[in-house]
Amino acid sequence: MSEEQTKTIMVDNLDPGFRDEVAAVPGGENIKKCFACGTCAAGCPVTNIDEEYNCRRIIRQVLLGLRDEVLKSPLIWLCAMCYRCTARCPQSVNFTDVMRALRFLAVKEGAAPPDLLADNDEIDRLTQLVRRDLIKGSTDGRKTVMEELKARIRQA
Amino acid sequence: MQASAAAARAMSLLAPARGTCIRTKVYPPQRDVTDEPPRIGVFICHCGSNIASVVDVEEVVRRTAVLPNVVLAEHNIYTCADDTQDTIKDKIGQYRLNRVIVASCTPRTHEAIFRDTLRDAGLNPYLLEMANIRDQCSWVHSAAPDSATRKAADLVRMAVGRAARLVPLTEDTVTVKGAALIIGGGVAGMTAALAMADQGFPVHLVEKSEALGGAARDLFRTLDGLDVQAFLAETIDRVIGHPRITVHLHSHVTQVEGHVGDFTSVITTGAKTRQVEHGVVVVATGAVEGKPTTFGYGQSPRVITQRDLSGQLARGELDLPKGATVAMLQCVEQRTADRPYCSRVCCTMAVQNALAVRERHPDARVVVLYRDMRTYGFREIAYKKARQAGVLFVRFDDDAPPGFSLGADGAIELTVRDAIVQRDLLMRPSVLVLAAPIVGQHDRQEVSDLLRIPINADGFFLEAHVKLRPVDFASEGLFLCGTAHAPKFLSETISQASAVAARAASILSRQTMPIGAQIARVDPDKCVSCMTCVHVCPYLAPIVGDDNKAQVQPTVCMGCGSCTSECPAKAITLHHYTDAQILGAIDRLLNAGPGPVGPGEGAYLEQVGVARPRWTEG
Amino acid sequence: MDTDQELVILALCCHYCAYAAADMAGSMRLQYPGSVRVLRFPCTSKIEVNYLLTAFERGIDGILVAGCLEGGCHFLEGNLRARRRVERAKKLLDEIGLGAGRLEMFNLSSAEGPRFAEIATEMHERVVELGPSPLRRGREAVLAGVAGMASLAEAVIAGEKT
Ligand SMILES: Cc1cc2nc3c(=O)[nH]c(=O)nc-3n(C[C@H](O)[C@H](O)[C@H](O)COP(=O)(O)OP(=O)(O)OC[C@H]3O[C@@H](n4cnc5c(N)ncnc54)[C@H](O)[C@@H]3O)c2cc1C
Ligand code: SF4
Ligand code: SF4
Ligand code: SF4
Ligand code: SF4
Ligand code: FES
Repeated sequence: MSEEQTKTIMVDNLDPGFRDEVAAVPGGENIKKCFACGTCAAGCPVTNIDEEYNCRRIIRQVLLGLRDEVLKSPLIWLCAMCYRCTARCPQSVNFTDVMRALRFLAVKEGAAPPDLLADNDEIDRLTQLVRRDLIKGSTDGRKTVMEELKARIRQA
Repeated sequence: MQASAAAARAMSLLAPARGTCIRTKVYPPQRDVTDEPPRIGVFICHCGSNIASVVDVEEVVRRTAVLPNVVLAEHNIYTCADDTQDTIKDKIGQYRLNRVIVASCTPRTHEAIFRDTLRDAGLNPYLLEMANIRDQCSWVHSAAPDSATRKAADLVRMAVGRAARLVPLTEDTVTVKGAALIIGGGVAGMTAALAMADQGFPVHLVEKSEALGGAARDLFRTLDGLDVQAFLAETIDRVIGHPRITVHLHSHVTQVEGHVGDFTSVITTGAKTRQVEHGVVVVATGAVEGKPTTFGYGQSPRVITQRDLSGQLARGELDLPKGATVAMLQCVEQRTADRPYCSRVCCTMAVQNALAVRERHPDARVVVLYRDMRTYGFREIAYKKARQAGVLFVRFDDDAPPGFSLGADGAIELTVRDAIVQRDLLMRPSVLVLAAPIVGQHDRQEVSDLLRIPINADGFFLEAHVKLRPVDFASEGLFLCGTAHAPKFLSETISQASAVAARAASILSRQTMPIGAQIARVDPDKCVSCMTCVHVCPYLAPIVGDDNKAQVQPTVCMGCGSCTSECPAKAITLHHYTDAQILGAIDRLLNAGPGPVGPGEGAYLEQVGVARPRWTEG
Repeated sequence: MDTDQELVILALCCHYCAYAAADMAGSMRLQYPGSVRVLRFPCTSKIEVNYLLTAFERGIDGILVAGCLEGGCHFLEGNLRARRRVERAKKLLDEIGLGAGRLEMFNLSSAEGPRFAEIATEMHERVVELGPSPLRRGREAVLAGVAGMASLAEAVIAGEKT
């Protein structure tokens, strides 16, 4: 974690408007319902492989008003859009859609390059190809598939 | 409790018709069995397959039939069925049985039923004995039928040992004094008073302060928007105007004597005393806000309690600078090792106040520091509303409480670790609002001593049973409601008080009531006037009579046996649990030899009396 | 026939707690050793040292006394006094060489069915370890007693029935 991300947060200076801004973007409406139970993070496949990514923490940062930290963070691009958190959240926060709202704001405010949205879609598409091949490979002959996989990764 | 509360409402509607539809069951006269040798009939139950699928019931019958004093032993599919009970009645007559044993399920549920069977057959109900061969045998030894059968036979044999020595007992009745004494004039006391008075019972309502209302005098709105002050004013008016309620302000109850149905008490108002007679007592002495001693409370006018804040909000006194931070700290001096309980109302008060602050001061930041938000039931909706209104909820662990400092200039500084972003939060709030605990009345021990009612470790009065008798004390005729029992919301106080009114009415509406016969009796010839029984008895049942000998007031004694075990002269007998009856069971279990067994008196007389007088204990 | 089954343990139970817990163990269909026989008391405060000693004298293998949780006795201090009596009886058992281990007092609430099964098992295992009471009459003697009694009783019954 960077130094920026460990220092004390001055509550009296926080930007209380950020959470309302997120809530105003379609998809972000329910963010303030979150009661920090952590159910989302417990089921998230991304958190599962990389603890630095944590849906609950991202929500918290928004509620605290840590605008720059959230919008400039590469972490908001890691979400796989799988909707597991959304399905499990007891408060119907719809975090996947919140995430979409955050990405939209990041691009809109210039905190992220405009083509990142399209890039992300492409990465997702490739990921799906790899996934399909891996699954097929595990049913009909590993060797060719693993070679193919490596080739594709190089290509990407 | 809700059920009793609903019953109270219904009863007040039915009050005019009370007593018009009661049919009294008539029993045949009881046969005098005093001079007869024991003639025991044993009825062993299959309980369908509950018992018979494990225990060899016929084997138990065979083993029982040969025991002395047993004249009849048989087995039935369902002993509690109507037709079997008719058979039992017939057999009692046919075999001139004078003791009956039912070996079946637990006496806790079925003793009353079979006692009634005996009564119907003209036998004294105390001549029944039960052997629990289902709940405590077939069900717990279903994997070991042989062992279960042996045990069932043993249990029946013990019952035979005891039954042979059972004696008929008569139950006293007392005349019920149909009035109520209520201690405490808060919402609980007033609600119970109105409910009982509306049902037609006179009520004495005793309040130690100068006014009715109690803690609710400092409350303004409930979460669902009820105007507490208006409600209180209306309730007080009704109480004062009610023809059947006598309000005693500035008063204390200084003496309570008697027992359920028939109490005589003294109410002291200044120098004046007044004696009143009543059938029940309701304890509604309430609780108060515990003043915090930490987080600068009392040192800075900007550190207040949630109750102070609701008062300031209600009176429009809350003054905040632009962009101010309001910090709320939950669970102050509660849910700790010293005070482990939760005051129930604070989380909801915080949410309610936080919403009000955000509404009136939209630019204020409201931060709630909490350990768990316990806005139970529909109060969760308000909690969600508060989150949506932008109130920030930050959780901390009890082992990492927020850091606090009060600057020389009066500035409050609060730090807390946010476990989710794993960073410290620092704030300098304009107001720090503490969730102070609700604590029992300071003089609760006096009330406890007066009525002999228990106080739990948290400093509140303890009900008889949390599920089965939630508004009763263990002593008959004493009831409990409101925050004297535990912290609770106004709405919970009201339904509990209504429940009390219904429970109390079930006593007050009778002319007379029977008192159980399982009571202690002193043999004056043996009593050495040592007073041990007097200080041992939890109900002060034994008194010393004119002859300087102890005697147990039959209507006060609850039949625990404490005194009998402690009397150094072995002068006291507990009816239905005499030495002969208890030793009879033990002897029959261990010595299957013929003839009468066991001494009627204890063989180890010197081993009684280990009690020390109460006043020497810490 | 193994000796385990022959052991007899008395459970002197308060009506309000342990007796109710024993019923609950039943409705939960918990299993515990068949040696335990429950005798009901209005409160453990009714249990006198005399009863304990008499039972041991007659040859009981073990006794467990079970009352409400401390502070939970319906008669305030009944169970505390019972505990003092049990302690005293234990001392005496040690003095006469029978051993204090054959007697124990437990506290539990009426909601603790599983705890009752646990206590019964614990006491049973302890008594198995200690073996049958040396004061116990042999099984043969008991059976002989039963036989003697049977003939006596039969005579009585025969007289009654005709
Ligand atoms: C700090 C605090 C905040 C609360 N906030 C809320 C809230 O926000 N919402 C809500 O729904 N509920 C709240 N409650 C709870 C609510 O106040 C209670 O449920 C209700 O008022 C209890 O009524 P009561 O009659 O049982 O006790 P009380 O109102 O305490 O009344 C007891 C009365 O008995 C009198 N008394 C005491 N001892 C004796 C004696 N020995 N002899 C004669 N009289 C005696 C007292 O003077 C008092 O008048 C709060 C309670 C407290 C203490
Ligand atoms: S949608 Fe995103 S945040 Fe939610 S579980 Fe899936 S990857 Fe995790
Ligand atoms: S599951 Fe829902 S309520 Fe729980 S932390 Fe995640 S978003 Fe918040
Ligand atoms: S304890 Fe026994 S001897 Fe002492 S006063 Fe009571 S009855 Fe009499
Ligand atoms: S049996 Fe119990 S209630 Fe009755 S007098 Fe003795 S100690 Fe008191
Ligand atoms: S009432 Fe259970 S031990 Fe006294």
